[in-house]
Amino acid sequence: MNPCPCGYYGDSRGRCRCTPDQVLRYRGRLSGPLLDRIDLQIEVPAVPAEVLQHAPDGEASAVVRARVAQARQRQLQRQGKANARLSTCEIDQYCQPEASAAALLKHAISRFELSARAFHRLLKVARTIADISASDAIEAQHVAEAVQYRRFAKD
Amino acid sequence: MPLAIVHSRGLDGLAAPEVAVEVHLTGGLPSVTLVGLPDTEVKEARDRVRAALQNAGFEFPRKRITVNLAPADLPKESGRFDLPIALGILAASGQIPAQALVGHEFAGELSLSGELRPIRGALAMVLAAGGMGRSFVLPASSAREAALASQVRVFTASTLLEVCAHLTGQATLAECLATEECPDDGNDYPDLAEVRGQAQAKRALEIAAAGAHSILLAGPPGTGKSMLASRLPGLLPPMTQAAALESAAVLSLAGQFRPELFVVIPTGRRITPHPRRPGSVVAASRIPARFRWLIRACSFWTRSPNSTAGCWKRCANHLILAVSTSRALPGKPSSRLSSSSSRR
Repeated sequence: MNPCPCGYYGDSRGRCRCTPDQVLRYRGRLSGPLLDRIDLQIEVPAVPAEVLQHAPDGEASAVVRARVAQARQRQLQRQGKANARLSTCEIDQYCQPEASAAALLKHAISRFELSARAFHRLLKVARTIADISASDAIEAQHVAEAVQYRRFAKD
Repeated sequence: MPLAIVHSRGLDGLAAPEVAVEVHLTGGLPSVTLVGLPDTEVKEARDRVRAALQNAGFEFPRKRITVNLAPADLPKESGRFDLPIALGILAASGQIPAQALVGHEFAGELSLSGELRPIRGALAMVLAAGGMGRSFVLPASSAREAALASQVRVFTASTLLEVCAHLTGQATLAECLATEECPDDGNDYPDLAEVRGQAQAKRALEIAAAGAHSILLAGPPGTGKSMLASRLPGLLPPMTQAAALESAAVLSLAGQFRPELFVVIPTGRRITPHPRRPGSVVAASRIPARFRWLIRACSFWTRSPNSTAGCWKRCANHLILAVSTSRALPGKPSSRLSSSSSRR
């Protein structure tokens, strides 16, 4: 989706011509309850010209796919299903964060006013991030990254 | 014997309830009556079957013919009952042995020349026939997808004559087996390396693929949201057999399933779908709206004005979802979708 009707809301060169009212109405078309159900909310900013002119820099799909397959394998071995399909009691069982991570999580919930559902979804995303880095415990860095992916709704 | 019963299957969403095609011949003015909630396509079977029987060299009985599609309260649609009706008429008039029909189920549309045409939803029908112990006779092009359900014997036929020769014991139909192909490594998906910059979004795609999480990409036009989203299928791990067959059955209902996109791993007869081909997985927008949420793999919508908020909530819960334009946002339910849901 775009951030506003013209699409340039927040652009550093000030290209956006939408009124705040228009932006609000536009964002309102995606209801809060729906947005709350989406695990990962990512902003895709404009790419600077220098980056575009350089050679492609990222990893190939095959490399990422191998990591993804390993992470999914860990999930299936541990709980027999993907992390996104965990039920509430399974979250209590498999997604217990470490002490430092729990403290960070508590701070994030009050800071970003996350709902109970968002809290559970955040834990599941943190579990996936820990799986990708082949970690059995959910550490503070995993929770911190998961919180990053919930920011769009609060902007 | 003036009565013959042929087994077939109807379609009700993903379920394929058994339908018994009963044909009764009696004296009186020659006529064909079709009962049992037939839709227009099924009613038109009268003329197709008559021409197909005559062109295949059989005699169309000059009697009063009553065809009943049971259960009577299940609506029957599409031309897949042509073959069972034709076989029922042949068996009731004694041109083929009625006893031979017992161990089989049939589905197929007839052309006027007696050839069999492909049908929709063959995989869903064969999956439902799993526990009955009967074998399935299908048109050649539908049999290939149906053979993926390994618990049922699937015979493939290209004409009505071949089916009759099989039933009278003169020849045997070829049994269709799931083809074994080498696993594809998904090379034909666009590569993530082609996207420049956007490291955070790439990382988020990786997380979404690893944990089957839903994902929303937001940003100004032209920054690569659609480009990123179209690379998500190439990152997904292989599906499980159950999920693969389920999504294949949904695609089969929409007539979009292409068996060549499935990969069969020979050891243990495990079927792995191809989760990474745009044609089979990504084009969810052409699947009937009420089935879309069933596709477990990956759905990718751009500009889907027909989606309701309810549909989207289910999507966010069930799918890896990539929204790439604001047009896709839920508004009021469109008349098309609300009319289809009220029909259900």
